Amino acid sequence: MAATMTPHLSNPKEIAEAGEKIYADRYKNQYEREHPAKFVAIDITTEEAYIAHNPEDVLEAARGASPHGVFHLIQVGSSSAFRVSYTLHDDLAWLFQ
Amino acid sequence: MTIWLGSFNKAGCPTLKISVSGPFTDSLPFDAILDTGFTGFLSMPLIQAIRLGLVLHGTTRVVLADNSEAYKLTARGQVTVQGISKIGVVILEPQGGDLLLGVAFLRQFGRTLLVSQSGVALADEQELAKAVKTPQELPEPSLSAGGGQLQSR
Repeated sequence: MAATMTPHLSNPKEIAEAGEKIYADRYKNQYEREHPAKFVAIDITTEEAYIAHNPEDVLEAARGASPHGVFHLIQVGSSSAFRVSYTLHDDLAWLFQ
Repeated sequence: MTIWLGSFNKAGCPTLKISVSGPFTDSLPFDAILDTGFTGFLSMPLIQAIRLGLVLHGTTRVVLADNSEAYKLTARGQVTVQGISKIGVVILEPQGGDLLLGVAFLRQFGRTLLVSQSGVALADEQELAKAVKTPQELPEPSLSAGGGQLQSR
């Protein structure tokens, strides 16, 4: 029986890394062939993936299907879902300690 | 044509007055910077999102202008401008100070951003498209003898 990954839901970095691992292991190959540039929300509590043309639609659909889900948002074929012009390189972990 | 007028802040950035709300609290007004280098809907300080009671979606990864990357928390938020409201994905900045409106904000509200030295305006995209004729719709230019500007000597 495969071990189930249980990320610490209080740590944003671990949520993101868990979402990216689920995506890479289960969905990436198929989605990059069939759904380039679409947005994917990975529910890290169930490992289910939701897909749509834009971030708003995919997260609304994911929230509707899994009201208590915790979602990591990905754009298919891209390392990031958004481009920002500036931000602080902050470590989010301190927020939840 | 319905035009939303913005303004420039002290730093010279184009801004727009918006209200942001979550599901359980009244909306709060903000002057948000219009940032076309941001592809998302709205970016706001985490502390303001907590104040508004925005519902957390989870996380995402963003890429910065220098191609470095960072993880961010995301939430569901509603932005209202002059009585029109749209729900979008809000990027939460743990230490940021400004609210940023990105390209997804313009797309969701169907607005075209116009920035000049004298002001900032957001025009309705569909109304603007109707008002501006494309080159195919313009009549062929008529060149009369001696009246053209491209005569060779």
